Amino acid sequence: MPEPTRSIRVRCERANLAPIRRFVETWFDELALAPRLAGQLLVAVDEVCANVIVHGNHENPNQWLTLRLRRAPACVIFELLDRGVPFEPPPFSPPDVARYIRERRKGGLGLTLVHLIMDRVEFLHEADDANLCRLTKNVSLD
Amino acid sequence: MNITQESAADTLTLRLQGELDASSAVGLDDVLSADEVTRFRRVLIDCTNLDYISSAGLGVFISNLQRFQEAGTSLVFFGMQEKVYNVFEILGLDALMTIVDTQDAARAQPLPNA
Repeated sequence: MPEPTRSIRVRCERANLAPIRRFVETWFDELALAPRLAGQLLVAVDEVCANVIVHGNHENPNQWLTLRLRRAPACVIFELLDRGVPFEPPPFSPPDVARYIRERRKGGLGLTLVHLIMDRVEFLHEADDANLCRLTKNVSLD
Repeated sequence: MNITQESAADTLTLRLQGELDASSAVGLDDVLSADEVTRFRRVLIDCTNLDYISSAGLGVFISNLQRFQEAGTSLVFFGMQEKVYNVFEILGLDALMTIVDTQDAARAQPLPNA
């Protein structure tokens, strides 16, 4: 397993999404990721953090989430830990976005974006009862 | 997220500045969902200074588009940065929404049939 590189721990509040993005962007800059890839990965990480904050923890500021960033020779890994409501994802299928428009839906595309961007999306339960969402993207790093 | 509104004749222009995420999307939804908005024939979204969009931001446009179409109001985006456009592309929204380069091109888009 690759070594942990760094992590950020924030309260489960929507206002913390922007600071999380700044933290992740700094790491991307250091890795010298291509801007297009960096932009996509930022969206994927933001989407899972938003889900954990809003749905998993109901924006309870007494709840915390931790995001760990790891690098390996052939991939980057994002691990999101929290102690909110465990998420049981449905099987992924490509979305019919035209139907979303007809049905005037505000939400439901976040996890779709995550699946379309990342190479692997895992929702796990840790032994200490924490939820772990792990996103992996294959990428060559020098 | 700052939203500046400019109206002239049949056109409302919303200039977005900042990041549109699960925290800031609510403010834009309040503006776009207002009844008065569909009194305009066209609503132009200036994305020149929009630095980020997530699914929550996209959801504001997705959930209002049908209402706009039924009201005969066109919704046109312009000045979109590549990284923002890419999020529309990933979901195929670039084929379902009108996205052009410049404000002039946005104004030149045909109006929907009344």
